[in-house]
Amino acid sequence: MNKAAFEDKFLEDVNANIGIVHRICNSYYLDPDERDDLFQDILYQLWKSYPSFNGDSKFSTWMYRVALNTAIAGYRKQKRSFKKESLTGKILEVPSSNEQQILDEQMTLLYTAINGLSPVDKAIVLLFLDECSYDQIASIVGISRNNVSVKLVRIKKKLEERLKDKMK
Amino acid sequence: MAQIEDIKKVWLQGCSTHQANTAMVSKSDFIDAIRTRIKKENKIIFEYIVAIGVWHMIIYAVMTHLVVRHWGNWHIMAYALAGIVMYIPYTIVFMKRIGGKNLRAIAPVQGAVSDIKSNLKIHYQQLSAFFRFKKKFDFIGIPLTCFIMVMLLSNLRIIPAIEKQLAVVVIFFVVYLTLFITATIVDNRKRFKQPLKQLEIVLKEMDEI
Repeated sequence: MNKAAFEDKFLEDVNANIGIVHRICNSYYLDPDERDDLFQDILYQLWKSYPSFNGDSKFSTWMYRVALNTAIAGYRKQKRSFKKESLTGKILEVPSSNEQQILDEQMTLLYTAINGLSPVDKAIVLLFLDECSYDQIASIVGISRNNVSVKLVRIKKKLEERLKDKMK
Repeated sequence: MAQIEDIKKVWLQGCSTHQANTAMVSKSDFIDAIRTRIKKENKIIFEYIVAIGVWHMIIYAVMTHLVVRHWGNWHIMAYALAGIVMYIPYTIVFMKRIGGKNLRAIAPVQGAVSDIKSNLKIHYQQLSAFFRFKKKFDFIGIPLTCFIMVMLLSNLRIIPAIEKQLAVVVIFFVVYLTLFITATIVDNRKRFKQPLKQLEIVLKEMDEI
């Protein structure tokens, strides 16, 4: 396969699962510059690791592994004064229905709540919300199934409390 | 939506429609991103090479020059050769890591098989192994480097001779030592202590039940 075809194949595979990268970036950083930075880091790591993807696992599972690894390992304290509107900035440009607007606001609220969790908790809850099984989460993160289950109970509680506070 | 089931429902619905979750990567975006990251990585490596590599080259160049220039002056030759011999092991280890692969803020992904925890552990082990070596070298290397420098300056009569004004030579030694130690502490904090602490916290959290 020549270089151009290889790049096209990579982009096709990545774009089919691009939501994973966006969700991770939105959950780890609220500041748009930091989010863009992480997005580029993840894309670069995916590109570098792509030749090692041998199809043993699903592409999305592999992508989660690489993307979350990049997000956790490079995690740094967030800037204090981030532009809150930026998460919805792009959306506001598009005319949307009232129902869609409510959903967007709820998503923004959810991302803000997830953002307050620790890097590891963020990874676990993202995988849980994306309907990964406990076994899948355990294999991606590298902890036991039992540990996943215990952590998830705690994380769910934290997330519910955070959302309650934010909705008050 | 404070209940987890409601949260999940909103999440799944929102993920497919929320524009911030669905924007595709075009080929030009991809090429730009890769170029930017390569530049960033090269900058980290370049900074590292400048910080340590150039320093080693200066040491070797100056010491070799002194040996050649003062051939026959055994005092100067001995100190200059000691400087060269002392730096050789450090240079060898440095050359092995010249790609900066163990000094990146982001853990390089080891392949398709390993999970996040294993990757982070490998990154932690590589970084801490190099840091351990560096600490050992610094512990012996910094005072010795300062001593050799001061002795050479004294023998070259750039500062007073040790036999004549011991106090001045000692002051020079202390000043050099303070400067070297301060620079090393700042560099270690930025390149090793902070990233290692961050990785430790994450790994500890992963093990906690």
